[in-house]
Formats: sequence, C-alpha cells, structure tokens
Amino acid sequence: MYSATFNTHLNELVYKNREQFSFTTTVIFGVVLLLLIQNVSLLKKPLDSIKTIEIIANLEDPVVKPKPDFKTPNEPVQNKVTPKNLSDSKALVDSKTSPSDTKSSAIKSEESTLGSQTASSKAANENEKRPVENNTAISQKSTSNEAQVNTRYEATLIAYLHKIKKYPTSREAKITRPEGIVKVMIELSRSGDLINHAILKSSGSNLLDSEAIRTLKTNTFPAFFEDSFVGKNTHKFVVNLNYTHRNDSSDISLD
Amino acid sequence: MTKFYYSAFASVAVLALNSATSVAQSVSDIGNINIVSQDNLAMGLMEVDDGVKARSSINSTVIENNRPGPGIYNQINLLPGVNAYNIDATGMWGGSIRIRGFDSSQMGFTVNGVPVNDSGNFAVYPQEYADTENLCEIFVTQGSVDSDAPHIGASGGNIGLTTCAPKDQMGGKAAQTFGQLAFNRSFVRFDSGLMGESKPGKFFLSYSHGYAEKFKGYGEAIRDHVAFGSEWKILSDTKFTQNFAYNQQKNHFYSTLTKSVFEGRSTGTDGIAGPSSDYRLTPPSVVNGSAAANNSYYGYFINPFRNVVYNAKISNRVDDKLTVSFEPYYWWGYGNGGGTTVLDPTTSSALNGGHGTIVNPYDKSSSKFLAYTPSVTKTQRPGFYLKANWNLEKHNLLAGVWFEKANHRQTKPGMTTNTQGDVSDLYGTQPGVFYTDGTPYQARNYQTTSTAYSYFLNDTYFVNNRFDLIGAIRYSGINRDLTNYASSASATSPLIANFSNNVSYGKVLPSIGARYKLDSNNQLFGNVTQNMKAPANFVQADLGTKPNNLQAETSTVFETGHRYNGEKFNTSATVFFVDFQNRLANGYNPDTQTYTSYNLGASQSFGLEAQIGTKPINGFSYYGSATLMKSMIKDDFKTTLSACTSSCAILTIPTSGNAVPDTPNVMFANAIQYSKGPYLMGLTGKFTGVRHTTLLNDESLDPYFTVDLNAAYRFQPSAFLKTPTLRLNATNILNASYQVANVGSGSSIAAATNSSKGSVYSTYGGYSSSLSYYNAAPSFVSMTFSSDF
Repeated sequence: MYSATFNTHLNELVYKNREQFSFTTTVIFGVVLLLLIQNVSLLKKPLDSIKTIEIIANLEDPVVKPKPDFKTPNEPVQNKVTPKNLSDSKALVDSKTSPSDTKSSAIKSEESTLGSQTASSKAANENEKRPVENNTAISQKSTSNEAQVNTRYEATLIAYLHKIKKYPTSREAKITRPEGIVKVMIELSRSGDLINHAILKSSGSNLLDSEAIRTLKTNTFPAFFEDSFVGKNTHKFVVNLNYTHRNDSSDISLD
Repeated sequence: MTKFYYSAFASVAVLALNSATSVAQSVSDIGNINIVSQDNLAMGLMEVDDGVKARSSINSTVIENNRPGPGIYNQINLLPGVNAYNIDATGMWGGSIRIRGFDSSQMGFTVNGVPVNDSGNFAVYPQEYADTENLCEIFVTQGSVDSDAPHIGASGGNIGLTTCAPKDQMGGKAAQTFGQLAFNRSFVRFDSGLMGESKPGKFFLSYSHGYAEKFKGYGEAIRDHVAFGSEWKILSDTKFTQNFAYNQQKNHFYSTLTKSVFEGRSTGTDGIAGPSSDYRLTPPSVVNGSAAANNSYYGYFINPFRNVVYNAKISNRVDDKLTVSFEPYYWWGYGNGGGTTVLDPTTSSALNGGHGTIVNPYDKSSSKFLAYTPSVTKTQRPGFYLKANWNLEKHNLLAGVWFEKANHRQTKPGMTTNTQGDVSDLYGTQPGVFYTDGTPYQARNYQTTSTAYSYFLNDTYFVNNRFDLIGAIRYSGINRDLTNYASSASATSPLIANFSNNVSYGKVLPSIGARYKLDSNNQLFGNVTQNMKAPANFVQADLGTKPNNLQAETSTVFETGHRYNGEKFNTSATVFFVDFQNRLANGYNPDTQTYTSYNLGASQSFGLEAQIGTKPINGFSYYGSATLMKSMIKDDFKTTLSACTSSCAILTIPTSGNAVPDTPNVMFANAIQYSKGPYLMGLTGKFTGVRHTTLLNDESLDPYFTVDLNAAYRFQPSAFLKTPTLRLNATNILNASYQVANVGSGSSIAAATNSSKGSVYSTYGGYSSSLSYYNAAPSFVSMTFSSDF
C-alpha cells in the first residue's frame, strides 16, 4: 500500500508537529517585515534600473571610430542598440521582458549638426579627456555622443515604462481578458512632464486604451539627460503598448 | 460603424512617422512594451492587484502544475481566507469551500461571468464547470461582492472562473493521466487558430474523459466533459464570443462518518468500525414483501447528472469611450442524488395527494416494497446581461442590468430495483411506480420559478495619480413563485396538499472604496460593501401556506489593507470586519439530501489575511499566506420545539458568544517551487486550525496539515510535440487522516452524542443531531504526460 510506504516515522513526527511547522509562514512574514522596516541591504532593490542607466550614461564613452558610411551629417543616424547590448549593461528591463521586447534599433537621433554645435559641457568634458585628432573628428564624435545619449535616455524611458506598466485588474478585465496593441505618442518636457499624449492606433478595446492613457497620465517620466535632445524643450516618443497573455504559461523551460 | 477620429495632432504624428526623413528629428519610436496579464509571481498563485477590495487571483501557471481534472477548490486552497477541500484527490467528487466563515452557498460563483450557483439553494458543484487545462484564471473576492456580478445569493464574496480564449495559432493540447485508484483521465483540445482575414474568427473544442474509484468503500466516478469557445470579429468594432460546456457525470457517494465511527469506537452502516467504513457492498435480499427495508447498498447512493452552460456575448465599441455588451446565457441541469424508500400500497389516498393508493410494481399486491426514489432536480435557466461601459479619462463608469428566470423542477419519483441492486432508471426519467389513478408516484413534486435581477451602477473616479475612488450601487432582487403538486411526502409535511406561494426579496446594496498609492511600490486600500443573500427555495416548500418569516441575510463588510508591489516580491495584507444580520443557517445532510434553514440572528467576524509571493530568484519561488480570524454569533437561537405545532413555548438555546461553525481561527499556507531548465519541483503545505461544527460549539474537528508535492520534466520538443511534459502529482504525501465538515452555513445546533452535554441539549426540541463528516482524501499519486501540438 502506498500509505504504508509513506507513513514513516519521520512523517509522523512532521505530522505531530504540524502546528509548529505551519507557523513558518508567519515567521517568514515577520522576517520580511522586519527587514523591510530596517531597510537591510539584503532586501534592498538591486540598484534601480533607471539609476543604473543613469550611471552608465555618465560613464566615459568608449572611443567610437567614425563609421565609413557616416558622411552626410544631415542623414539620420541609425544608432543600433541591440538587445544584447542592453542586457549587458544590466539596465533596461525587468527579468521577464524578452529581448525582442524593445525595438530600440529604430531609434533616431537628433540632427547631428545641431548636436555637434550644442553639445553639453559634460559631453565636451568627456571629449576633452580623449585624444583629439582633428576638428572633423570632434564634430563627428559629438554627433555620435549625442545620438548615444539620446538612445540612453530612450532606454531609460523604456525601463521606466516597464516599471509603471500594468495590465488592468478590474472584474471586467479578469472576465474578458482583452489583448491588443495601443500605439501611443507622448510628448515630454525636459523635466519629464507629460506635455501631450495621443493614441495613434487603438487596441480595439476601450478598456486597454483607457488603461494605457491612465498609465501615461498618472506618472511623471524621467527627466532628459542634460546632453540629450539638446536645444529642444520637448520631445515626442512613440511606443507600442502590447497588452497580452503569456503564450506558454508554464514555469518550465528548456533554457 | 463609428470610426475613430484621432486628434489632428495624432494624425500629423502618424504622417510624421511615415516620412521619417523629414521629421525623424522630432519623434523617437521606442518600440514595444509588452504588458503581460499574468506575471511570473509566486508561481501563479498571486497576481498584481490595485483595486479597493481584498481579492486574490491565481492563473494558469499554477493550475498547470496541479493535477489536471475538474478540481477547482484545491487550486485556490492556499489563498488567504480560503478553507477548502476536494472530497477526493481527483476533484471528481467536488468539495466544499468556506471563506471568512461563509460557505459556497453564500458566495457567488461565475464561469466566464455566468452565474452557476444552483438557482434554488445556491449550492455549487465545482466538478461540473471546467477542465483545468482550459482555465486561465480563478479569482476570489474574499468578502465584498462585486457590484456588477450576477448574484442574489452572495453575502460572502464571489469566485470567478475564466476559461482561456481560443488561441491565435492552430494547434492543440493532449494530456493523459494515470494514478492510484484506477484513475485514468484523457484530455484533448483543438484550437483552430485565426481564420479569415477581413472578419477573423477562431474557436477551440476540447473533450475529456475521467474515471476513478473511491478511496474507501465501493463505487466510482465517471466524467465526460466537452467545452467549446469561439471569438469572431463580426464587424470592425463588434465582437461575438461564445462559450459552451457540457458535463456528464455519475458518482457514487462517499458515506460520511460520525467521529465515533471514524475513530473506531462504533461501527458504520456497513458494520465496519474506523475510517474505511462506507456504504455496503451487498444489495438488499428482499425488495418486495414485509421484510423490505431501506438498505445502504452503495449502488443506491449515486449522483448522476448532466448539465450545460452556454453563454454568448456581443460586444460593440460604440466609440472610443463607450462599449456596450449584451450577454445572453442558458444553464440547463438535470440530475439526482439517489436514495431508496420503503413504500406501502395500503397508505390512504389522502397521503398520496389524492391520487389513490400506490400500486406495487412487482406483483400488484398490497405488500410493502422497496423503491429507488432519487431527488430529481431539473433546472432551465436563461438569463442575460446588458452592460454599458464608459472609459473616460477621469472616470470608468459601468452601468448594467442582469436578469434571469430560472425554472426549477424538483421531483422524487420511484423506480424499481431488485436483489442484485439494479435500478430500472438511474436518471429517474422513466417512472417505475404509479398511483392507482395512473399518475407516477412522487414523494415531492414542486416547481419554482425564480426571477432574479440586478441593476448596477459603478464608477471609478481617478482623482489624481495617487488616489482612486470607487462608488457603486446596485439593487438586487428575486421573486420566487413556488407551486406544489400534492405528493406522497410525510404526513406532517405541507407537500401532501396542493399549494402555491410567492416570496420576494430585494435590497439596495451600496459600496464605496478607495485606493491610495503611497509611492510606486506601496498602496493602501479600503472599502465598505453591503451584500445580501435571499433564502433558498426549499424554505418555501417547508412553508406551505404559512407566512414567510425568514428574511434575506445581509452582511456589511469593512476592509482595509496594504499592498506592496516590488521588483522581487509582492505582499498584501487585509484587515476585515464583517457584520452579519439575519444570518441563515443552512444545514445539509448528504445522506438524506435535505436542507434546513434557521435564522441565527446576528454574527460578526474580524480578522487578518496576508499573503506574500516572490518572483523567481535563482529558480526558486515562494508563496505564503496567513489567515487569522475570530467569528462570533451575537444572538441566542430562539426557536420552538420542532415537534410542536400550536401554542409553542419559546426555547432559547445559548449560542451567543460561540464561534461560527467550520470557521478556523488560523490557517497558514506555504508553497515553494524550484524550476531550472526542463525541471520543476514544488512543495505546498497547508495548516487548518480547529473548526467547531455546531452552533453550541460542543463538537469540533481536529486541526490538520497537508503537504502536496509536484514535479515535472519537459522533454525536447519535436516537430509535432511542442511541449512534451511528464508530471508527477502527489497529494497529502504525509497521508494525514482527518475529517472535514460537510455542514452548511449554520449546521446543527448541537451534537446529540456529546457525552457531557448531550443529555441537556437533547432536550432542545430535536435540534441536536449526530454529526457526520467526510474523510479527508488520503495520499494519492498520479502521473500525467501532456503536450501542446
């Protein structure tokens, strides 16, 4: 009999002391609360992702060689930020975000000439630390820095959106479980205030559209970096908020 | 169809994006942000919430890890406040649930928004509703009933089951389970994937067949379940959704045991002392003649039923603010609960509703005979919802109407049997016993038309980026029209004469709540909500032509709590206080399938429910919940001697200050899971404290602690098998042996067998009784192989 196999002495011991065992929840609760109150480093958030990005943003840039095709400054710079780079910097997204989540590769930088003329002092300082080859190089370098800084801000914004995103939790949402992509535009001021917003493409569900707008409206966004979007009071961003269910809900993977 | 006009600015922005060269400078496209409804929090036992009331949700991640089948209660048993069990390990026999002292008949149940509580007595049969493979979410609102939920019998919260929508890609799933007790279950599902380009539609169809034997005594359960779901975009802004489920099941009952039999101090109906006592294997030796007697042969204690739940929903987006939906549904059920009666052909016509005497179906003689007389219930229940939802910037306004008209036909016909235990018709559709006037014999024969409705208005006001306010009001009512056709009920029952009566209940039920975000991680919430439950329809059958003195029970729930939604873990803690008026005691005896209602007056309960759940940390996830509560009956039970019919003295039974039955003061649950690559292993433990089972608190059940284990391995996918997975589920691995209460809301007043008090309480007008309980399901192991394809 199965029961006979399992009804060992140890099992009986556990069962006799079931009340004591069951109090583990309370103990764990208590410990967690205690740690929370005391703000013990064990439970401290492992460095806020936005801060991480900011720190990385302020790090010295690696020397970037001018790209061979980077000839006409008026062309938009295609600054490729691959998901690999992002995850390497431990920045960006929370753990459940798949790398394909962010299409940052399509990010377009400011007009390069403008950037080179009004590079912030910080960028200039950074440039000063590096060997200066010639004026053209400085100009191209600044442009490239500007683009990278902008990209970093966009990464910051993406990380922030991941932080504030939320699937609706109303009873209606729990029963109908809508899915869809809300394409939204947000215009932010340099301090991160929402100046304007619009739904460019509806998800087909008012529940999701209104949740998207509420998510955007009830939050203040990260301020621009000093040297990002230089010379502009506001900047517009377009993002697809993709409300979805997990295709494979299993906790098992073959990773 | 209304088209969507975006602001001129937005249009410009779209244009701008399409001509990147000219305006690439002013707009940055930052790509996709995925917002997934179900997080990988606490292995699916917890979902992020930001409402104003206590609510816990689980999703398909944890459902998938549990043993597949019809079991619902075991899925949510770890949640705070929930005291639930399945009668057996497979879930095929259903189970029982209590939350904050409210039983399932006091909670509103919905499947995809359709109410599934019995329209007469509000009972819940969880084994009917779904296969767990098709479930994507179960949510439990612990106390404050959702104002837009279709309930007239919910004084203690509501539970909702949501099935997974058909998938966008063509495919399916198959699962095969084998386990102890000859448990064998097959499940197969097909998803069509999206079909059509201009008006895309999709559907799924699933079928399951399950079989298991009882863990004690003789008998089995056989269950077949078909489910269908479809979504079709019939116009650009109009969606048509359907869900259909058919369930057919035949279960032999488990015999409940008194504590004395369970502990081996006396013998049960089969002559066995101890927990293995059950119904007898041997059929009656005489079915016709003076020696005919009721017999506890297991084949007579059977519960065959079939039911259908269908709902459709047409949802139309009128403009970018307003969505209107119309949701008709239909619920059909037919089943019975077995049982036998010794009938006497010499009983006078007056006691047979004037239909003459009963004809002995075996030899037309005047000798007594044994008949199979199940209590048959047939329910036809159409209803609908009409809802309008305005999603405005500062407000989310929901207004609607719910209406249903349930036809509840309850009979108790007679069928023939023999000394082999065969029954002429288990479903009771072909009567085998007749009166001399040719009409079929009935021991009860009445019909109830229950017209239930609710009008609701619900507004969420988003005051600012920290503060939400919710105000809701609903008027819920029910009118019950009962028509009794005279039948061969007992001589003292009003059912022996024709009568009809009509009872109405209705009440305005307000709710207010608020949520305040302290910062991006912490929030406070609170609400005050009034709930109501109308008495069950059998009250009217007991009533006859007497005036109704039973009132609807009302509860006022006060809740306040805190939630922490962090990057690594989430917590929630709720303090609640429930003030209960006109509490209806609802006792159920599964052996006789009879219910009784009493008005217990007022009661109160207060307590704390808390939960914590982590995201995976190095493959480990943890979930814990704790429930601490105190419930107290506030009034003495005033009644008359049950045998008394006129000028009865009032009897006061001192129940004031006692705990509400089957409501433990403490419950704790822990679950831990380790998942790495293709391996997964989980362990859960649940402790449930002492539960009193009588209003006098003179009998109680021991605390218990159960441990379940699950493990899984996923094989490399092949061209056809996308997720080949082998799963082990071992429940109650410590093989804890204990009893669980099957009592309803109020249960018995006193225990007749209490040696110290029994002699005193037995004088309480027959309100004391020998209490019997279900055995807890012993340890059980099953293996499942499943795969998507």
